[in-house]
Amino acid sequence: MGRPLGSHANAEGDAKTDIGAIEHQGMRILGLISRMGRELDPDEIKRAHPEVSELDVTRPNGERLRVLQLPAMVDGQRLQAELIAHLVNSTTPVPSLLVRATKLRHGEDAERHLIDGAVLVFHASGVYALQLRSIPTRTIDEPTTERAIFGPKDSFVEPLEMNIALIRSHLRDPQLIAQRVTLGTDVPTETAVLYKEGSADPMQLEEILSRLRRYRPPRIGFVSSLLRAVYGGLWSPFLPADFTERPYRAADFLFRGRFALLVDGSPYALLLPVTFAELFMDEEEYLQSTSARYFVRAIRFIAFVIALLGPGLYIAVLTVNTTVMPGLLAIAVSSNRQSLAFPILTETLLMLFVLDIMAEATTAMKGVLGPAISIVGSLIVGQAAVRANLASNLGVILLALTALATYITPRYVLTYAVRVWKYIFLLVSGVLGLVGWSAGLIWLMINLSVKREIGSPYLAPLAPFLPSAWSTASPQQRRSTSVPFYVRRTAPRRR
Amino acid sequence: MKRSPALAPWSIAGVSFIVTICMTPVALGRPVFQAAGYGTLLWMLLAFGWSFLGTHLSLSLNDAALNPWADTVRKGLRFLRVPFYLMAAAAMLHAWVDLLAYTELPATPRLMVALVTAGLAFYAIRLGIENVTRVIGLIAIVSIVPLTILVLGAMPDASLRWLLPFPFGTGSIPWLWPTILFCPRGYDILPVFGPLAKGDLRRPVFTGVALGAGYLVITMVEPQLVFGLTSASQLPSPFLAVVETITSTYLPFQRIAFVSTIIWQMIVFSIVTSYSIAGIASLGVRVHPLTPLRVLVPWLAVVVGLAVVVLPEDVFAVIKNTWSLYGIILYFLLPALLLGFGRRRATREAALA
Repeated sequence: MGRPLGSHANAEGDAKTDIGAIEHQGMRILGLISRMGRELDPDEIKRAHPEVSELDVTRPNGERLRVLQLPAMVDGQRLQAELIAHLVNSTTPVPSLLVRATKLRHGEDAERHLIDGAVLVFHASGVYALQLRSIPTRTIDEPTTERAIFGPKDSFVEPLEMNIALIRSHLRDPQLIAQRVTLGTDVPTETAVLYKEGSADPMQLEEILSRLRRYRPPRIGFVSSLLRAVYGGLWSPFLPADFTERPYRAADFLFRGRFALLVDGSPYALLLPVTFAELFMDEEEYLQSTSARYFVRAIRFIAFVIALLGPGLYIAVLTVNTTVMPGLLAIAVSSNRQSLAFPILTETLLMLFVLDIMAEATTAMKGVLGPAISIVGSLIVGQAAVRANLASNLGVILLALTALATYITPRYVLTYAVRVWKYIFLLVSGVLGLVGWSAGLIWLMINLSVKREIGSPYLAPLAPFLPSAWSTASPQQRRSTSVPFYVRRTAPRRR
Repeated sequence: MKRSPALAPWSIAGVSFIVTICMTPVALGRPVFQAAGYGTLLWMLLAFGWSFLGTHLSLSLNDAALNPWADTVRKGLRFLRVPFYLMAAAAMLHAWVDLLAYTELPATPRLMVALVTAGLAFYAIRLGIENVTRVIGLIAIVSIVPLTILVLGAMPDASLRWLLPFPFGTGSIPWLWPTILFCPRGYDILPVFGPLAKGDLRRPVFTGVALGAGYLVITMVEPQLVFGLTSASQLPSPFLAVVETITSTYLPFQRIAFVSTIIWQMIVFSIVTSYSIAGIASLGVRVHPLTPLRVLVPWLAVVVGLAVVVLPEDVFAVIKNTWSLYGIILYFLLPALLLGFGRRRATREAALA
């Protein structure tokens, strides 16, 4: 008697297929669902979609079976070895041979299984769907958006199973759980919530799962859809989550009692909850001495403050509170600005806007065009604008400093926050001077202190101020397997 | 998931710190220097100790086992606190608007300053007492370093010879004593914020009050050390004048005093917010989050209205002194009496048992 079919795990790794073609094929079939009847008729399926191929199999006892498949989505070798060979060579009754297959009842089920990479076996005893999906993937490359100098250099790929396996390779812990949730009302997509049992906060897990289950979009795009699912409509540019394409980083995060969310087809993991202070930290820092680590963090934080508050302060001092400048500097500034066409506020707003346009253009045009755009932009802003009396030299220096300081943060999500808030500071400072600037600062502090996503205060352990939590910044504590108490829903707790 | 507010003890310590510092170095500087003489130092040291006693009394009042009447009296005091907090918030905002309008930022209209502060306070209070405490705790942390820089920055100009000779208690005017004693008033928010703390308050709050009171003593002493008593008492804001003496050839700013403007705006926001929330809580209104706007809006309207009215300096001083006396009675004498009676009764009951 042959062994049960479908008992092998899915093939990993090297099956390189055109992902785009498969997605296109899948979408076309999805369109058929509405046209398909509820009958399990192979001819109806074939008529509706010509790409479906059929194999006629004759068994040793003379039984004839029809096998339908989407060739690009099925692993041909497995189909041959695990289905056809057994059907042709074995006399075991088909239901016994297909114990791992799913017996279907409706046409819609057949469509879904077909799209998902199953083969449909039409037999007198019923219709069976046997999962033989080939996982189309690319090779595991180095991360493109995150730095990995000394740490592991692998990065996520598209298939969910592969990504879970990659995380498991970095965190070989039986307590690592991957809980599956299927999202998408029209196009069901597999997602996974990963956590380390015993370390993660059960209340936070419950909250995440319930929010995911309540989320009912037609389809799930990238992992960013999950961000929306968990946090809803986020207006604040300070995201209480982070994205990573490094399995090692996700594993480290999970080790510390947090959550990683993955979507099938997305090469990024959504990490949550994240505190503000953690956005200035980088795993690679721990290869340096303690003093060097704190120095680097201080540099990053100061750069963040400069990028966020610098333009506003510049406007406040040069427009409203001019008396705080030393006399010589005031003379130098005013002589530099004598022939300029715009007032300081307009000039700074325009230049920062140009900077953001350049940043977006460079992001959109990666590769060869990116540096070219940067050069053109810097030429226009740095030289032509000054020569045309549209900008002052001091303004250009401010612009350069702001640009450098904005992109020094190790986490890209934080740069958007800086880019949005600097305009707010600029406007309130231009109108009210230092009063407006400090009012903006208070407003920001209120906004950040209030943020409490899935129970974790975003600014903890600073607000609420929890001195006992500062020790978690030390390497020994940071490697602790339990989530810091201030990240839990119930924070702050009694010591 | 609804839950009751849980305030982190160290955030409450931040509120105590800010409330202790308050605006006193700026707002009370000249009257105190004019009236109190060299004895100011002694009074400030006395006030320093007094603030610890006040803190101890406020914290002990929360101990219902120690004081069986605490709850009854707390309810009775609730309505007395409302005018106190209203007066406090308005006085602080008024002092600050005066300061900014006449000395620091002549380009900024008084009404605008008051409205911005009240708007921020409105926004914060609407988010509830827990969030307000967090924000003020954060402001306390953010303020400590600049305040230290301001105090230390003027030290090179200080001279101990201004303190000599050291006549004890000369020049003091009795009606100013309550004001000086009530300067470090970080404990008067504890009846509202304290019961919501999740954890032991003693160490955090004593630390906050000690830091604030210490800073206050320094800011009272420093003008004497830099200018001498006679000159300091002639200045409109002695401590601010001290800050304005700080110069640095290494920074692109002529006057580092502009930092004080930013810090004091944060402090005033914290004061107005914490006193407003305490006053509203005294009315029995739920402040997590604050639901009835009909309480908050009139409250802040009164505060802003009082802030933009230009009061004669002596009238303003009388208001502040009355307020200090009122505060001492409400937050020091009454709790002390209450605690005394409670302890006596407990001892008597123990003896009878």
